[in-house]
Amino acid sequence: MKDKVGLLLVSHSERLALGTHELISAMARDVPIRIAAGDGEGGLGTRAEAIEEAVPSEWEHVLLLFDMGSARMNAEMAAEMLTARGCGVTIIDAPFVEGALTAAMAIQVGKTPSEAVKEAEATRRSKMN
Amino acid sequence: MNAKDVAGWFQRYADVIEEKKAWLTELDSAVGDGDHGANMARGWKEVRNQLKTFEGGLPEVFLLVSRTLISKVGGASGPLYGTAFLRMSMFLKGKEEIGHDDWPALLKAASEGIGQRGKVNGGEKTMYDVWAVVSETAEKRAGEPVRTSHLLEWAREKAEAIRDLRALKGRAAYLGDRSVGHRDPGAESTVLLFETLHQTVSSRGGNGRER
Repeated sequence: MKDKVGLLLVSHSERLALGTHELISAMARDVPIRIAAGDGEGGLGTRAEAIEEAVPSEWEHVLLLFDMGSARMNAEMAAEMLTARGCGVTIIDAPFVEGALTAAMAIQVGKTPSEAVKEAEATRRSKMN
Repeated sequence: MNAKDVAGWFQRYADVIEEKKAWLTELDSAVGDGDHGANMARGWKEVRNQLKTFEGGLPEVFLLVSRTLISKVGGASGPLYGTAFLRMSMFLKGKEEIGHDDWPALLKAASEGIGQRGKVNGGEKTMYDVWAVVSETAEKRAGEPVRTSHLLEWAREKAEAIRDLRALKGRAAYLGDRSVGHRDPGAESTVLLFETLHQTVSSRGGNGRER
């Protein structure tokens, strides 16, 4: 079950995505995590096609986090493409790092994707708690 | 306009974007992340390459542009323009020509697509403001022929008018009141699209339908 749900980090910056990946995978060791970051030419940016292609075909559900601005639009376009190929997608409305870590840990301990989303989105209010 | 005219329009636009790349980037550097010129130039250069060997019909030209922009243009302009051209392609399904009567509904399809993708309703100081006013004004003139000179005029006026607004969407929104007075890069690249449309139609000449 676990390997059919994965986390996708969508960022303008490849370094931000890689760093977040590093941080999360140190704790959520068994959760598949992929990144889609940068403009494809070494610069900052996000691309819908690259986001779609970053999701392996064996994933049944992808929990997607994005960093800012137009990453949301590209994530939404990619979500439509992924839905068309039969993969479930949830775009998580949460801070990039905290949301990703919380979602990954929820999946790591065996919670469902919707529980993971709910917990990740709760990080919007809980950073200083 | 048939598929060939539209391809001519897009080639002309690709040239203008290349010419104005530095200017668009300068506008975007003042209010955003300074990538609008480079992003648009990259996408439209690829459109021009693809058009060299293109032989499809009217909806397919729009689809080609949509797909190319979505895959090549980073930033917000890729998905926004990509959605606009995709909706126009859908509207033109089964058609071989864009007639005067088609413009209001065609522009409405594009404008609604941009509004949905960008989650805007108007007044946020984005390219949507320009698309919306062009589409709505064209619709109000039901019965009267819509000329490309009109579309250009409405687009220019709106892009000028929104300079005085405070940006509420995109990177420019982080500037708050300091965004007032600046031109919106997406609104300006939209004006260029209507400018090249008008140039394409005018230079076709001979048939006297458009001047």
